[in-house]
Parts: sequence; structure tokens; C-alpha cells
Amino acid sequence: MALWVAQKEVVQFRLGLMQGLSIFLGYLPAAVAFGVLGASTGLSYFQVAAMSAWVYAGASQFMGLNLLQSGASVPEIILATFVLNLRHVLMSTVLSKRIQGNRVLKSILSFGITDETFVLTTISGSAGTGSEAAVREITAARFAGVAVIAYSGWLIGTVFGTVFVDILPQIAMKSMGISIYAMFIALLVPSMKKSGRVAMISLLGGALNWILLSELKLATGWSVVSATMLASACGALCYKEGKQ
Amino acid sequence: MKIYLLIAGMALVTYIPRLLPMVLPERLQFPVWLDRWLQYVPYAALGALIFPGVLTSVDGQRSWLGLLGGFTAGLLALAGLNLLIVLAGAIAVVAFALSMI
Repeated sequence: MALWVAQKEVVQFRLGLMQGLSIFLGYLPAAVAFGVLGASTGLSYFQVAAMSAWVYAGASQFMGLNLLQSGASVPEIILATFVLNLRHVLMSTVLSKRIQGNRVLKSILSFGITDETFVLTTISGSAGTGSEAAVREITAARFAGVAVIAYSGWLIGTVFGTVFVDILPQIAMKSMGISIYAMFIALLVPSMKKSGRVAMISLLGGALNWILLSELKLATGWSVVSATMLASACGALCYKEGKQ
Repeated sequence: MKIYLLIAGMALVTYIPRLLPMVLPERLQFPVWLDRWLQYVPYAALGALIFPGVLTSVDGQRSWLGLLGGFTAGLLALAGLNLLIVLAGAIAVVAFALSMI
């Protein structure tokens, strides 16, 4: 019995690794870009790598470098980082309801929450992408698999970027910029096909985010979280019976 | 030293928002309306993460490149292809377009 349970977890972990491979590929070019930028800002290799290893938040790290260069103080940068990352409270709340496991395990796994790992694990099922029955279930092992491979991509990319600043072909790097979005779209299309309401909510989320960014000039972190909360609230209000 | 202080501070304020909801009391029952709301968050977030970010994903000046990649991914996903094939296809098409300009 114990062996069977362990095996099931290994299977789920591997599934997570496979699903997360798309995030790995998406993070590589962004992390390389961060490594290049960090090294050119005058940080040591170790400092750049340490930032990716410990902070592990793409947008925040780019913003941090930016502010650092423009002469902002340490407390200022930390405060700005905090604000930018508040959106993870929302994502972590959703995940805390769905991931099975005790609090200690969930606390460790929560380090792996990013925009990408969040949508990937919540939208793809435990039995494979788009599987209807298992869609709400997120096993701790599968989340761990996704988180581990995503984190490796971020770290490997950063180190690679700091060391090999000059030898990277521009076209390869630029074209890989599409990969995160290709992953998002590959998750979106099957769920849109499955349910009209899901399609409406996603479209609304995108439209609201666009309006908030371009008309109200909100910062990206705020506009993503506001658009997400508004669009999902509309979904909850419009579709009362509450099935997927 | 200043840099390490910065990194430590940033690490802390990044981990706290990720961690906090996980240490809520385990038997905390959310009201039904909140559960229903949270259920739609992933789909709403997905839309907001795609758009309009996809436009500037390849080149900040040429949004058509992002659109091209996005449409390619959409078509391949519609055909029911595997996630990694969708990814490879979108990257290949964008790389081809980049090499043409």
C-alpha cells in the first residue's frame, strides 16, 4: 500500500515535470536576459544568481535592477517589490484550497508560485492537460514537479546569461520570447472550447487588463490583479450555479 | 553589502504573499460566494496574462510578431496538438519571421 502511494506520487511528480517543461522553455530566455542585464548593471555573478535563486520573481527582479540603476534606495525598491507581488496572495489563496497536503508542505511549495506555475497547475488537470474530471485537483507532487522544473529554468537561464553575455544569437533569444505566451494560449484554447463561460471570463480578463493598462495607466502588477479579480467576480455573478 | 540587503529584503517580501494564504487555518471554510469567485480566478488571470503582454513579447516595437506567434499557437492548440509542439511551432514561426526582416 505504502509502495503504491509512493509510486502514485512519483507519477504525479513526473507529470508535473513534463507539464512544466513549457515553463522551463519560457523562462530560459527571460532569465538569460535578466542575467545579461544584471551583469551589465555591475552586480557580481554571484549576486545576480542569488537574486534569481532567492527572490525568484521575474518582473520584480527586472524592476529591482531598473530602480537600482536609477539610484533608488533599498527600502524603496523593497516596497515596490512588495506591491508588485501582492497579486500572489490571490493565486496562493486559490492554490491553498486546491493543493492537498499539510501546512508545512504547502508552505514550502508556495515558494514555487509564479503567474505561470499558477495558471498551468490550476487549468491543466492531474491526469493531463485539459482532463475534465481531474481539473480541480492539484496533487502536491504534481505542483512540486512543475515548480522544480520552472525554478531550474529560471536559475539555469540566469547563470547562462551572466556568463555567456555575448555569444547568444539574437534571433533565437527574441523568438523564444513568445514561448510563455504560446503556453498560456495552449492552456486557454482547450478550456475555451470546453466551456463558453470560461471563454467569456478569459476574454474579459484580457480586455479589462488592456483597458486598465492603456487608459488608467496602472502598473502591470496592479492591472493584472485588478483585471483578474473583476473578471472572475463577473463570472461568479453571471453564472450562479457555480459548476466549472 | 547593500546589494545583499536588497536581495534579502526582496526575497522576504516576495515570499510573504506566496506563503500567507497557505498558513491559514486548515479548516477555514470560505463562504460560498468567495469559493465561486476564486474558482474563476485562473481563467480570468490567464486572459489578463496573455493580453496585451503577447503584443510586446517578441519585440516591443513590432507587435505583429507577437500576434503572429500568438495566432500560430492558437491554431496549433485548436488542432489539439501537444503543449510542447504548440510551443515549438510558435517559436519556429516567429524565428522565421525575424530572419526575414
